[in-house]
Amino acid sequence: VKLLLVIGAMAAITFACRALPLIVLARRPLSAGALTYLRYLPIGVLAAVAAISVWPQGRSVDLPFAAGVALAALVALRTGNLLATLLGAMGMTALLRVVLRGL
Amino acid sequence: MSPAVISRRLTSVIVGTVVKRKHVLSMGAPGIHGQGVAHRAWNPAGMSSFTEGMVDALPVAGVYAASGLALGVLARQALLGPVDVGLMSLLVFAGSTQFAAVGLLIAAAPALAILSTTLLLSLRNLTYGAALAPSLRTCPEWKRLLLAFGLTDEVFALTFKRFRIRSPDLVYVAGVIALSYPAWVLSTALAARVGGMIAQPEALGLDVAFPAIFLGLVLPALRTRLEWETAGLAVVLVLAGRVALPEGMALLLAGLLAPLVILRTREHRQSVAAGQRDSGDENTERS
Repeated sequence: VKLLLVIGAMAAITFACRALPLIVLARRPLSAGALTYLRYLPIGVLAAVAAISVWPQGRSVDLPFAAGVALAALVALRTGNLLATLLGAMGMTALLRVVLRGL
Repeated sequence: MSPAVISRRLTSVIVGTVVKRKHVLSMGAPGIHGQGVAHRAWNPAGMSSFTEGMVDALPVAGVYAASGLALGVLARQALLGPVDVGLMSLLVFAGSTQFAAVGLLIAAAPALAILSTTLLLSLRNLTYGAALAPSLRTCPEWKRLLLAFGLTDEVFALTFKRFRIRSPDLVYVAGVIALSYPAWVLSTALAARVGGMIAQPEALGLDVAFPAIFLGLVLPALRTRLEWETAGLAVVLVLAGRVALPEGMALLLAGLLAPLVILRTREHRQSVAAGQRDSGDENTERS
């Protein structure tokens, strides 16, 4: 029962954080300055999320991982294709791990 | 939707993105808030928005399924059954939050610690809702609430990308969620029941999947100098901030501050340039 309560509370917290601005901010008119800020806000947040996923805290230097990330950045910039970015990065990382293990 | 149409769309997703990007760029101003956007649809396969959302969400769903398997295995260590894990995924639908919660459950942490961690990790979702709210002003509230439930990092990134190039379209978002949500819920529950299905996820390069997904979503969205500056500052702020702050808080502050600082700097630059122009005009008149 305690676990179910914790899960319920987690769900409520997550949902509240997601829904609150969608309900509150959608009701009121926003100034031009606020709209400009909100247009750039996702770029800031998503770049920050990307940064901490590229540099996870406490992770030691890992060449195949770094090469995979570099290739992902390159493919993303060149093509803008999510699937190609994902498969390229995973393929490069897996391949380098196989090669380095064989050395 | 016939398989032929789906396969055409998949092919266009895989090989035709460069053409699509050129088309998008030629369409002019981004439409995240639905301002003066050319709403012509670039849709060579004639797919519905819902199916497009599902196809675009394929990589995300794949990564969710793989991470869900990892979470399910971890949850077994916390003595959580498939029903518990499945219920958690069904109700919470937040990867980082669930990984943290299961880790804390393994460490026998108190409920308060789990809930405060959940809050800290969920705070960034406030910014997602805030960014989408102006575009969804005309949508009924229940639709916005449904969207809110599925608004993970990746769903938001896909939504943001889509809303910038087309008119806000909740059917597309529904398609994204319709594929990614079951992938997450089913994989976590399945792994909690069956156990370690992927013996060495790192050997398959799965650890690089999340960074790759985010790079694939963020980098193509950066088109102007101001956007690059915002992203660059956010990266610097979050990496510096997490030295002193919990990562969730550093992320929130970096995301909130970076666009603010960059936009203020632009205003300052513009006012300085205008001042110089004015003084230049005065000098010309005097001479």
